[in-house]
Amino acid sequence: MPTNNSNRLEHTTDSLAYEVERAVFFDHPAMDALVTSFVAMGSEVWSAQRRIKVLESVLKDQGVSLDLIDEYQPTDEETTAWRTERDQFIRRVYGALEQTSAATAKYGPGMDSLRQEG
Amino acid sequence: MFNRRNVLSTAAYGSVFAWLFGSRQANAATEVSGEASTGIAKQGPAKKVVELMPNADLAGRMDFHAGFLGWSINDFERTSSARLDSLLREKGVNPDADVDLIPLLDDIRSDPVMAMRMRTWLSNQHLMLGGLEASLGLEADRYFDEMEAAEARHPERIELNPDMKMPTYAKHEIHLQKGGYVGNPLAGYVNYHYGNILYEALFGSNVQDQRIAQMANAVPLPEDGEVGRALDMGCGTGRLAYGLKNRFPNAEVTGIDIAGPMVRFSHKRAVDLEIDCTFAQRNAESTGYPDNHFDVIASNILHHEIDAAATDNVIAEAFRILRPGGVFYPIDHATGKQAPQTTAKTKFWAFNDRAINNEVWRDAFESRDFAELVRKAGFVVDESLRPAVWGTGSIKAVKPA
Repeated sequence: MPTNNSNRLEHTTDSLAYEVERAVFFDHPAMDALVTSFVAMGSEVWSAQRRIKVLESVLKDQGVSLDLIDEYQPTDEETTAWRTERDQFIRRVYGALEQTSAATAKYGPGMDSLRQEG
Repeated sequence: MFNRRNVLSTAAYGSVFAWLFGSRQANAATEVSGEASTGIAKQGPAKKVVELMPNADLAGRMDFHAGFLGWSINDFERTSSARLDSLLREKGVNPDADVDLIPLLDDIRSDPVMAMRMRTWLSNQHLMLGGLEASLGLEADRYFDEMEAAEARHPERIELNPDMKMPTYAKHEIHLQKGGYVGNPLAGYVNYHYGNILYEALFGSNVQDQRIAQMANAVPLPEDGEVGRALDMGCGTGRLAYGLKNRFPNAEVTGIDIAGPMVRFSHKRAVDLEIDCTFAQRNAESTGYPDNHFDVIASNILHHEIDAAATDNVIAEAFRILRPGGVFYPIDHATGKQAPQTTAKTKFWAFNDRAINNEVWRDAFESRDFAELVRKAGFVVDESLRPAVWGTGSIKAVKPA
């Protein structure tokens, strides 16, 4: 846990990991990754839409014309920062596509073990 | 840093049913326990504090995942259940019969519709919990600050036992929450937000603990009406304990949980809400409380998250620490004669819940008659009450005088 104070008491203990996110449901792990990306894309798009709705409401409450949005030109600093955020966005949405080699088993190891239990 | 907290002075509990709409929600509205209106006192907490997410972007993403989950477990589950029905019939299997599912799993999983339902659900769950854990973790110091400040303000209301022996059954990553309840110091925060998302998908909303208040209000009273001490066993994020305190304002209310991070969050939020509950990190199998100590013991979905031996022990412990005439009211999945009929379809969705939602102990719990276990422990059991909320069993257990 990324706390900056190593003296803090966490009151935790070890846990038992369940790596089901590596499960495969389609003929090739790439298809599973594609679906995950598709879901992630929806999450990002809706989050952005929702934020825009919030912004527009805030702006209207402040008496700001929404026409200013279309006329706005980002500063150099903004351009640099936004590109960084864009790249983070791409990794969140498409990161699953580069992790297909981690998927090794049908359903994943946890689910396969269930078959032995009936 | 903008402090994303809103303190709302008024939010009436009278609106508790406002979130009940839609098909499942309509069921919930009609299943309110008749006992729910017989309580001593039902008042909202003095304060309402909304636990907001750390930023609007995360809130937006989680809003999506809540909506997606709702679509998945309602619309998509209906169509995929119809597909499952067809698949089973093609195999000569009656989908409404209790059959061995294992030989059929590969065929079910290989079907594109079934695979898509499972894959999308899993992807959504993984992105949801992964997103929560990552984003909350980035502000870990702030959350540690909050918990430590609450502990400094009301140290008498929290007990942590860092040397407690942790049973293996409590260490699983239930619902795919990384670190489970015991391995992530912010598990309470993660689980609180995850709980809100799940409740929104299932029932409408629980941000102000509305649904849990409904559960607390359904807790039956002892025959003599005396409630001086109440216990929430396996309190998780503390919400049932809050509900019990709101219902029984003059009682000492305690929530116990085996996970330190959950106890810390429960205590922190209780301090925020100005609810005078005590929270303790204790094992419900062996609480350490004196015999005949509590008037009421309740729990919310504890038993299907622990193994069978632990459930037996928890029931026995509840019997020991409840006073004669006291009420034990465990809210959990329906079992025994209260359970839905077992069919190939219900077995598949239960298997799916175990396999991709890591509900490790669900089968162990549902394969036994919970009411019968409670009865065998010495309680007088009444299964005739309506469930506290839709989708649960109903067990009112009284310790004989």
